[in-house]
Amino acid sequence: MMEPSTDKAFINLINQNLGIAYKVSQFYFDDAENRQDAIQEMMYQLWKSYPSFDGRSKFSTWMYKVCLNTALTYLKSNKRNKNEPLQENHYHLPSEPENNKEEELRLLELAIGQLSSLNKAIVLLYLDGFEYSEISEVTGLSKSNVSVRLVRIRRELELKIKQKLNR
Amino acid sequence: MDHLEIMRNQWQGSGKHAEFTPFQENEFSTLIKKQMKKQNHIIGRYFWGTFLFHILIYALMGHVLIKYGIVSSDQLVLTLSLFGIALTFPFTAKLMIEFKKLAQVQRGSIGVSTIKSQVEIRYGILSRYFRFKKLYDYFLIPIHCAIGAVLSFHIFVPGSFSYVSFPIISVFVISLASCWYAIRSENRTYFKLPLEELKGILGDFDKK
Repeated sequence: MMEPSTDKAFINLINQNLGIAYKVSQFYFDDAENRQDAIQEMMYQLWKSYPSFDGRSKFSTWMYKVCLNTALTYLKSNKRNKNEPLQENHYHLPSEPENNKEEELRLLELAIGQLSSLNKAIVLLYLDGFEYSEISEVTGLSKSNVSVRLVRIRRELELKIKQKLNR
Repeated sequence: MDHLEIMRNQWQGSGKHAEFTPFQENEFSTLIKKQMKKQNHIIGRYFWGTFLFHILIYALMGHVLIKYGIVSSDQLVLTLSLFGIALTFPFTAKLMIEFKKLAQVQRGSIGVSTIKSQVEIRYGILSRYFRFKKLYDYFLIPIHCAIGAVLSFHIFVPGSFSYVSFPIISVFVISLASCWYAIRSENRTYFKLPLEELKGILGDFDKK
C-alpha cells in the first residue's frame, strides 16, 4: 500500500483541535470502542478532505463540519445495531447524585442523548460557544432556523428533565 | 437561566476535554493506512462478491456455448448463451465504472461546505448507484434465471419443451426466488438502510 502523505502543519492543526473529535465522539457514541473507532474514522476523513480546505473559515469550524458529518453518516450506518440511544448506565455516574443541580445536569445529558442527530449537533456547537451564524455555517441550516430549533430543543430538554424529576 | 445555559457555562469553563495525547507524524500515518485498508476491505468485499457472480455467469455461458453450442452446433444453445453474454457485458462494464466512482473518491476531491451538503452528496452517490443496481436486479437477474432454466433442461433433459415446461417454470421460479432473497438482504444492508438513514437526516434538515 502507498505511504499516505501527512504533513506536519496538518498534524499540528489536528493536535491543536483534537478536542473537537473527542467531543463529537462523546456526543454520538456510547461506548469506548465505538468512540475510538469514530475518532479514527474522523481522522481519516479529515486527512482525505484537507486538500480542499481553503482557509476561508477557521480550521476548527471546518474540523467540526468533517467530524459531525462523519458521525452523522459514515459511522451511523456501520454501527447501526450498536448505536442505541444513550441510557442512564452509559454515563456510569453515581446513582445518588451529590445535589439537585448535578442530578438535573445528569438528566440533561441523558435528554441530549435522545435528541435527533442533527439537533444533537446543534446542541454540541451551541455548548462549545458557537454563535447562531456559525452553527448555520457548519450545518447548512438558516440562522433563523437554528434559532427556532434551539428554542424548541431547550423546551424539549426542560420538559424531559421535569418529567424525570417528577417520577 | 435554563439547564442548557448552565451546561454551556460549565462546558466552556471546565476544560474537561483538554486531556488528549497528540498524534505523532508516524502514528498518524499508521492510522491513515489502517483506515484506508479498512475502507478498501469494506468496498472490496461487496465488489468482489458482485464481480465473482458476473465471472461465474461468463464461465458458465462460455462453457455451454463452446461445448453444446459450437461443438454440437445447437442453434438454441448458441443463441441463448450468446444472448446471455451479450446482455451481461454492458452491465459488467457499467458496474465497474459506477463502482469506481463510488469507491475512488480522491483525497481533496470533495469540498466540505456544510453538513447538509455533505449528507446530500453522499445520498446522491449512493442512490444513483442503487438505481443502477435495481435496474440490473429487476432486468438481468430474471433473464439469467430463465436462460439457465431453459438451457439446463434443453441440454440435460431430452424431450420437447411442452413435455418439460412445468419443471422449467418451477426451476425458473425457484432460482428467481433464491436470487430475490439474496438480493433483498444485500440491498437492505448496503443500500436501503443507509439511504433511509441519510433521508431521515435530510428530512430533519428540512423541518421548519
